[in-house]
Amino acid sequence: MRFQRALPRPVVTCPARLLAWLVVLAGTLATSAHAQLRLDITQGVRDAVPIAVVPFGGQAEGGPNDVAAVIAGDLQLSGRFKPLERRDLVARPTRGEQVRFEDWRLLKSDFLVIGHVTPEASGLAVEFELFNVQTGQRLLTKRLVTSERGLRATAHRIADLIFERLTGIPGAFSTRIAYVAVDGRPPKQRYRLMVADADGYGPRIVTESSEPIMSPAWSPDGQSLAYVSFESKASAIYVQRLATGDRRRVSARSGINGAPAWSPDGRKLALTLSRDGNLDLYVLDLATQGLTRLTSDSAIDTEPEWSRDGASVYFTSDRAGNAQVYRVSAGGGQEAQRLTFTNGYNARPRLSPDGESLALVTLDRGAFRIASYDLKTRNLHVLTDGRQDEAPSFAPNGAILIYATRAGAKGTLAMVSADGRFQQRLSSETGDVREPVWSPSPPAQR
Amino acid sequence: MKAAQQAELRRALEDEEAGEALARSGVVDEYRTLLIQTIERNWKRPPSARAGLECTLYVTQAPGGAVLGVKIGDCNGDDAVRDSVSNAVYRSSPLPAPRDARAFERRLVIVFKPAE
Repeated sequence: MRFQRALPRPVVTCPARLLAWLVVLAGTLATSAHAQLRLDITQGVRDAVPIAVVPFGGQAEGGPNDVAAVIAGDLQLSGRFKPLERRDLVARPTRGEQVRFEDWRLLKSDFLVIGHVTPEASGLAVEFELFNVQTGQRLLTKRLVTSERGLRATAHRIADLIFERLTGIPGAFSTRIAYVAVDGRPPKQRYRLMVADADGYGPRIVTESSEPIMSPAWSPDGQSLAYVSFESKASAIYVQRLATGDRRRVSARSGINGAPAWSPDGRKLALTLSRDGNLDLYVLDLATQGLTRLTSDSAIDTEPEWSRDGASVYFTSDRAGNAQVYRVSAGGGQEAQRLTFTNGYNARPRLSPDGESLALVTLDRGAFRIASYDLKTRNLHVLTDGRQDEAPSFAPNGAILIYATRAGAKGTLAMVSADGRFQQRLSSETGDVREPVWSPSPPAQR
Repeated sequence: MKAAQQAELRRALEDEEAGEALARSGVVDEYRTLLIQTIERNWKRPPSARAGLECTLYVTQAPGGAVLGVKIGDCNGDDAVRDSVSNAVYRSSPLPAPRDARAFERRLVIVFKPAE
């Protein structure tokens, strides 16, 4: 019987009038519970997100300090965003009230950045607004005061803020890259240690020599670089302050002085020395010049990298017959522990900022590629697809890595996102470029 | 019971039966899959959308599939995640239509729950 199936039994005994009312009500309720289709979304795409960055008001377009161009360039470089081409911008709003969201929706742009630069007594005020085009909601707005010279830095700062609001990860655009550039052919080569903004702008020479320069390493405060130079015909390690150019030779022992790595507190350098005939790892106290030996193996131990807590050091050793990554106590006197087993070659470990994985160079199907090694799961995940990729270095936000690769016979730089899904070659200047190292975040952002 | 009331009752029950028949024929499942595929293609998942995320959206659509409103219910994601899920729905507008118009629902409950 229909009644009994459709309704709980007690209702059947109700007066007819009430019964009918209840049935209708139940029908309505059933419809409302029913008339909501439930969907479970378990997957998404990892495409770059389209965003429109409109040229800022009060500025000539296309100059070196074009704030919108710097922001768009940064977002593009991150691999997570796809800024609209300028010629496709349908309008040029510079203030919130001028925005017609329909225009931007038609362009399938998810987000919109507008702003303007206005002169004021103490310099220039840069104001920007970030909108969600789909909802019309304003997500972020800020006013920053700067000078004409500080415009690019301010634009990078804005890109950092936008990136963080839209991805949940702090931006790393207000940072710098150090690298080694080599010009000319042997025997007339010129080696230069360079520092440029993270987008490659404004390269300047830190030091240069006709002898090799290698292994630059940023101090944790971002004020100094340690590096190896052969300028006195033998290898020596120098520490140079970028602001003043002052430099100090911290290790020039007989044999090889190589691969300096700063301890997290900036007081010590881990390095590799061949004072006993073969390469072993040591820790050098920069204040006292005291030396602690970490390894004493007949194999080559090199490329040290500190753990986050400064208690241990990761390094490369060929003690098992081929290069693999190991870990040893930073205090010395302990056996090293082997970490990588997956491929026949794993070298140059660099710790991710969260301390959970190592970027390294691995031999993958006959090619040298950048991989990430998860310290917990011990999984090795190959990120790049070049033939001779080397020297990975994490951005301070851990979202992206810069590394060196080859374009024909020439060394050039490339970037890859930490999950490997986005890779980008950086157009390089003339000559060979190698050993890129990403600086820490500027102090204001730490 | 009055005739009108009985007719009303019968209609309600018939509707319900029709709904069940529709469900049995697979049209509703097909519609659900179509909607899920469309929205998944438009969800640009931010890195902060990790396993354990669960975001419920209440969506109203017009008969042609145009998205009229998106309300975010319970959601343990950050701002980046909230923007991304509501934009996934807006980007999917107009939503696909079911093969049988009777399977159409104005109101959708969409749960974003990435597997990994």
